[in-house]
Amino acid sequence: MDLGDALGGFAVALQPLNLLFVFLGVLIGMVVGVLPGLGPAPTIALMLPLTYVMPTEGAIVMLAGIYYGAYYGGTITSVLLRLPGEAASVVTVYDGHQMALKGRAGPALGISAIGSFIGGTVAVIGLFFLSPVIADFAIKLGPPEFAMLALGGLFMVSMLGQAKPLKNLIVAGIGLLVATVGIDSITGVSRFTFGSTELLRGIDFIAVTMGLFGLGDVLYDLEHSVRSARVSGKIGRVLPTKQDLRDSAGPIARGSVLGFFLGLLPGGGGVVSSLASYAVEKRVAKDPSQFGKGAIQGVAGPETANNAGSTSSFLPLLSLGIPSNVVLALIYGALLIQGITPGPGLVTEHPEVFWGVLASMVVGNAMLLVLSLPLVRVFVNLVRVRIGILATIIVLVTMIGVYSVGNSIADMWTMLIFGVVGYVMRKTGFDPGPLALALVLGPLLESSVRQSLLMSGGSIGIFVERPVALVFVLGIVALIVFQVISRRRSAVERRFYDDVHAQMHGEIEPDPVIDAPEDLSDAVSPPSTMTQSRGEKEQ
Amino acid sequence: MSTETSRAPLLAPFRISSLVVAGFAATTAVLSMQLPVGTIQQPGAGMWPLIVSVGVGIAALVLLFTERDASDYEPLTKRSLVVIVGFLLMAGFIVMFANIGFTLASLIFSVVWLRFLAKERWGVVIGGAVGFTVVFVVVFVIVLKVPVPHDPVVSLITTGRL
Amino acid sequence: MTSSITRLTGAALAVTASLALAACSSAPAGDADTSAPVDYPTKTITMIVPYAAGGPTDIAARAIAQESEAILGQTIVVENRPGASGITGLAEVAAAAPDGYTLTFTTGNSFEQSVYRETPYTFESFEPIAGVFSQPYVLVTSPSTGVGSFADLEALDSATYATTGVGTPTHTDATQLFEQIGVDATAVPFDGSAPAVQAVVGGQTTVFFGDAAQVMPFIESGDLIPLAQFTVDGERVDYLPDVETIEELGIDAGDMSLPLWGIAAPAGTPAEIVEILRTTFLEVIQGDTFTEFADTNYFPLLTGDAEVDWYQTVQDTAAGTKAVLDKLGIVLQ
Repeated sequence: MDLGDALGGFAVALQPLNLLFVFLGVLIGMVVGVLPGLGPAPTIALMLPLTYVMPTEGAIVMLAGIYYGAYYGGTITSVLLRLPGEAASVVTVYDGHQMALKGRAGPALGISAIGSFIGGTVAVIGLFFLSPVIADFAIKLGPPEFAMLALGGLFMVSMLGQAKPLKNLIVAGIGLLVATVGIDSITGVSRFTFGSTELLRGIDFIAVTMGLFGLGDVLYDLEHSVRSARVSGKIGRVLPTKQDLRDSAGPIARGSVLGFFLGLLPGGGGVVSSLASYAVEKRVAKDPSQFGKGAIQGVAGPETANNAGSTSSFLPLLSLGIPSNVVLALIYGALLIQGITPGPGLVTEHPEVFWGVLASMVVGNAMLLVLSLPLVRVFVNLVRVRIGILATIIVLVTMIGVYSVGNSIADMWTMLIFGVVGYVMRKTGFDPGPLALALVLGPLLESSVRQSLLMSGGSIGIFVERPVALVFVLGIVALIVFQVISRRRSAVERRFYDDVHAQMHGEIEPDPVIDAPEDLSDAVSPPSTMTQSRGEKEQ
Repeated sequence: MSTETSRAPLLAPFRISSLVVAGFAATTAVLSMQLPVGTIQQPGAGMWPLIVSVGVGIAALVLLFTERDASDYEPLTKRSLVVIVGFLLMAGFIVMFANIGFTLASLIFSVVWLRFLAKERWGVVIGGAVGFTVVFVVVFVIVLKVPVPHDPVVSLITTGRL
Repeated sequence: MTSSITRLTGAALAVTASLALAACSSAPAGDADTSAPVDYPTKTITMIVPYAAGGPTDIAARAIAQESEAILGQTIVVENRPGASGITGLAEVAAAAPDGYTLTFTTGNSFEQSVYRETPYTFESFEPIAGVFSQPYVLVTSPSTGVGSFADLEALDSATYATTGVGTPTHTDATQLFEQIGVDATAVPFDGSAPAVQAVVGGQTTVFFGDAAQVMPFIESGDLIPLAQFTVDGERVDYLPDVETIEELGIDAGDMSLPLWGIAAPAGTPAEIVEILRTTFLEVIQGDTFTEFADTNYFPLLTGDAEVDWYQTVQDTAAGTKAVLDKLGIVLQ
């Protein structure tokens, strides 16, 4: 890649007028992205008409700003209100919201902005050096790879959710079933629609998530507290501490690389990057039990990966003209309106556009970082509002938000129904996260598996014959094996130390066979009568 | 403690959720079989939901038999009844939204919720209800031009007619 | 098939609206059955595109809308209502008030759904306004498949082809083609043209028989090889002079169809308003800006009879495709 062209891109992005456009885009994106239901896609769709009247570079640069701003807005609601803005933010809800409840919303949001900036910049550098290679590689990925990616994602979701894995699997399964409502894209048959036109469209992701997380929480809080706020007392530091930065360095670095590569995969890229990063961080952390309780690594990693992935997902769009998600399809449209056809010729015919877009991403991310620091102080106080007032706001915003997605009253009812489901889930110890994620990964998994079988003429071997798919399969197997081993080991260890503890306090008599202190080797291999219950709870 | 806690009886109330899930899975399995299922080589529309339903059903049954106690579950109390009120209010909002417009629905909903569920003072109730309604109407209906069902208040203000 | 909730809402709205109208005794806005010139348009018009933003239908709709605003003097807002092969969006248009303020720009396939499945609309639910363009199809393959020419394809025992959805022309045309050349072919459906094109560029399927607009950039860059073309009039297009038409290759294209795009309004829209819209849109379509846009993007404009009869052509296509689907034993529910 030509350094001259790349620097030319920066020259374009840094022109004062374009800087203004980026700023506006990021600001609009952030504000609108905070409103549930209005994620990056509808926001960009609303802004699209504006781009007709703007100069090309300005338009594209502003849309990129909106893109990032809206993703960050989704992070803000995930952390502060436990409302995931889009699928990739669901993972942030786990630790991010816990941090907010502990008065650490500021560092959570701050580290997200920092991580996003670094992730985006790393991704741009990656694209600079690797574009031609990657474009060729990315195009070879097809249904078998997507299927295994989605499968891996579903496994990760089940193991990382906040409840027992078995319960997560059940919830994920329910999510998969909800995802089948509508027209089956492979055979054209309508499923579970009971003759209703509304259901033909399928069940909207936003309606489900807003219901499960938003309304569900409102109903739950109604039962438990009347006048207090979700967080009382001091808010604590608004900026991340030095310790936070130290703790996050590793996750950010790992998240950038992970997100960059996974983001190249169309469709599941963003969601799976954040899941994979969470899984990796939990695995390498010194104290994995903190995950789910407010570990900053659980926010830093996924947010970085997510942003790196959003950036690298531009590559298939710009170099091949293939948008890998709705948002990119909109940007594709914007480019077409400007008379630029993204595709194989773009890099050579319009290098200033290609590099201008990439450079504007770096600038956009930097702008986001700069804007977010003062704004965080304002946003953070949202959690201190009394629950009753917050509830009213959440209900109104989610209701109008979900309506605005498809102008559909039915979506509002769907959201309410899932609100009840979400409430029931909180009462019964099920985690709603896997349902939301299965709603996104399920259709990808099902279509890809069936397309793969059609491609191979019914042979399942296709999933292991192709190198990349095989890598994913091995990854899944490794994931399962590690999980099983580590849970058995920690269950054994915990049991052992509990016994030692109890003996030291004279609570029980040492058992001559199992508890003999000098024979530690016996404690490592699990006796067959052990149950899983304690180990499960600790997850 | 290395002694095992005693298992709760099989029909204890908290197990209802596993039973409900198992029942749900059975229903969807039956519905899936009414769709063309096809074969493994040529899966039809019903194959995937069938497989998933069976999986969920099995998992629910495993849960039913292996869950030891109710530690994951919260009991329903008298306080839980207030949840029904909350639900009814939300449902009421949707109905109002569709029939008398966003502005009135938002105002009525906010007033009722803030006063009766959140037990705020009237000052907070009125201020909050009006404040939120104005902000949301301006942002969503006027600035973002979301096509909401006919709203007489907005119409009155912008065009002078209901 | 409207749900009871929608019916209830509709009824409630109707009651509210009529009460409101009765309450304020203002004169109704320009009514259609007077012979005085109609006061239209007086407010923003909504053009519904029942497909995702950024696709070919969406882009063209926005181009037309933008140009038409100048002539009509009002804003035209393009709204996307994707889902259910276009049924979601069209259902909304069919149910909208026939006052000229809700229109749709869409492909024939979305109307045809009413023949293949249960939809809340029929062909009679709409008033056609203008036909816009169609699309030639090109049979393409990736260099990685080793198929270099149509003859190579005929020599294969079996093949796979990407389609943009079940029952779409990319599906039914390709099925008939393979049947005629005697190759055992399996359809691999994708959710729209972007993923289908991506699949064929990556060599995931042997071929794709689809929109020229989608595949031309790749043909030009060498990432796809054109094997044959299928045009409305059976002539080679000037940007693919060396690629044989399927008729030249001996294929009978009698039952095959090509997609058509057009503009329509809900049935019952007053004739004067239809006339105003039709004149406006035809002027825009035949104007320089749009013609250039269509050329650059490989959309051949419909002219003359083809344009006037577009809605009838769509209905004929539907009947023909249904026959093909029935013959193949494909049932869309």
